Amino acid sequence: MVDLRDLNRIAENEWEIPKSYRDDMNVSVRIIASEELIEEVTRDKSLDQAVNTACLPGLVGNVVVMPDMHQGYGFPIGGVAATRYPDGVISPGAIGYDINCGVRLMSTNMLHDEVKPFLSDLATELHRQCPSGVGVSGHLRLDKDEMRRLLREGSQWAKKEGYATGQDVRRTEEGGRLDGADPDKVSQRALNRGKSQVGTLGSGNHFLEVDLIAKVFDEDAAEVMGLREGNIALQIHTGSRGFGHQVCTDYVQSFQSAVNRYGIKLPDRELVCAPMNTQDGKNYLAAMRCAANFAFTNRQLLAYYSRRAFENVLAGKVDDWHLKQVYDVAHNMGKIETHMIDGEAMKVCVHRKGATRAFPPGSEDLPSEYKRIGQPVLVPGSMGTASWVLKGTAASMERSFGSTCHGAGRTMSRTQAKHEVWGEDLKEDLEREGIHIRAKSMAGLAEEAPLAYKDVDAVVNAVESAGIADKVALLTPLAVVKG
Amino acid sequence: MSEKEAGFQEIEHTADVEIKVWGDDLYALFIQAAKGMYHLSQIRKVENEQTIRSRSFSVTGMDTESLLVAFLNEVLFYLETERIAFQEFDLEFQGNGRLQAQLEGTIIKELNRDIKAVTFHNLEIQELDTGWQVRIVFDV
Repeated sequence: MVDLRDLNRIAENEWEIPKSYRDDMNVSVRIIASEELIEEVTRDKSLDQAVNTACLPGLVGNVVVMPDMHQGYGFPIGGVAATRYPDGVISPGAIGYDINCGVRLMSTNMLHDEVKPFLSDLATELHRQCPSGVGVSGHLRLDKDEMRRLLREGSQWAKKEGYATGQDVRRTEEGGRLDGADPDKVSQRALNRGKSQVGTLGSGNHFLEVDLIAKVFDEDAAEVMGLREGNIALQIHTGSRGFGHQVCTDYVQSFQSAVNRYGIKLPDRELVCAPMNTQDGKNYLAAMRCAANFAFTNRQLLAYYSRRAFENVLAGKVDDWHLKQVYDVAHNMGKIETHMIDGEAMKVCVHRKGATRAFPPGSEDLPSEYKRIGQPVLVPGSMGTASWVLKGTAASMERSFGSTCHGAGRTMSRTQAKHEVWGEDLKEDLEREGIHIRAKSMAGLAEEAPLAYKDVDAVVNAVESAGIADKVALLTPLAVVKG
Repeated sequence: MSEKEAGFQEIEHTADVEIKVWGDDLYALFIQAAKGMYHLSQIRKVENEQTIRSRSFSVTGMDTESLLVAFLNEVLFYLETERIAFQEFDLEFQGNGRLQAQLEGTIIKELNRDIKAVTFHNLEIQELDTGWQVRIVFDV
């Protein structure tokens, strides 16, 4: 197991596991962290998994891990790895089972004081309008053709159907639609699992949260994003549901034999992969893009239902109850991007698992209103704790393939969290702090207790010190809806 | 079959859930793994549910671990999409990496935890003197 002695400190906020650490590594591992967090990162298997990932064929640059890392399957959560396109590999495990799990942030013109008397009702109505929880179906029943259109078009489909505004779509990563999605590359199993789950929150660590914009650190960027200190905002954290899970499952399974065909030797079966210029690689890319589009649509629908909830509770009671899109980001994704590697522009597949894209000012991929300030980055904290809004920087392109952290990583097992925290007590504690909770499962609530997670403030401080994202605003929870 | 011969047990895992499963033979191992997965899904049965649902499928895998993951993912699929929990398992390992399964079960009232997938994480089926054993990690 990798420990502190194996690390070289190469900068204030960066450590390295050199390529020489193990024979089968193709590249080094770079760790973005802080003095405060570096010891913690050696406590689970994250770094060993990063070392395993460094064995993938076709890697360029370094494997980079973020300060909120924790062990995952194959690839650690909080990891970034880029492979040369088209002959390098793509690895489903380096993207995650919950393809395009991500966060959407919406802002309002309402002050906390205006909304306070209605918060409890708002929490209840959000819980009512937004399907959440294990086994709960969405409101839509799409036939096969409609589903295929949704998978190909993502947020564009949502807009055509009247669930999204042009601004919603523009202020979403990739405009809410990855090109090259092919529903024929997705199994019937995935289609069946996804059929009744379009527009659902799910469970586990997914949530919908009404927030107070508690503090603004960058007045200019916040103003552009529509974030004002003292106002209310809404966060939606969810992904591609059973659809995405099945896509990943299917390809992790079929790639088990594919790796043998391509003569690829791997230290971990969850790292199975295929070169992107093979039929296997192309199939997974096309299927993964369907799942990504499913998730963008999913968050868009929940935004639509949230708007309904806000209207039902607040219309006629406050001046302007409208929710406006700030941005929507993915934190489990594989994207074909162009990056500078040793002074040369190279097309690569950037795998981000538990890591968020953080493109700098001037980036072509940003909507025009954000080109000057850089890409908004949304970093949810654990339930009941603060969340952060950051912005991307030029340094992130140099150090981490334009990526930064995604949230607080887990430090405690679910079993242990349930031993230490009683769901009902946690709910009462949070309510006493003025946070309204609507959760279907008390045991599920206990599993998500703040003490089971790293400190998101420490994580954000580390990425800011490392220069890969800058603070814009701090959000604190007022109401949390969980499945 | 007594608990000592075949069974499962939930174990500590930081981010997700894990079970240890054991059985006299591979059939018992696979069946206990399915039962363990139902336990982790926190299923609640319907009182006096009479209607038996039958399903059958076959899966392939390049080794026994792959077969186990494929089998459990199919069982999970039926749980998630049709709400069926199987009680009777008729499994046939057909050689050539194929497993044929005929299963019978009933529709359950609810489940309280979503399992996203069965993973290959540290998956190693071990044959010991006392029987077969494996630890399986599930993404939740």
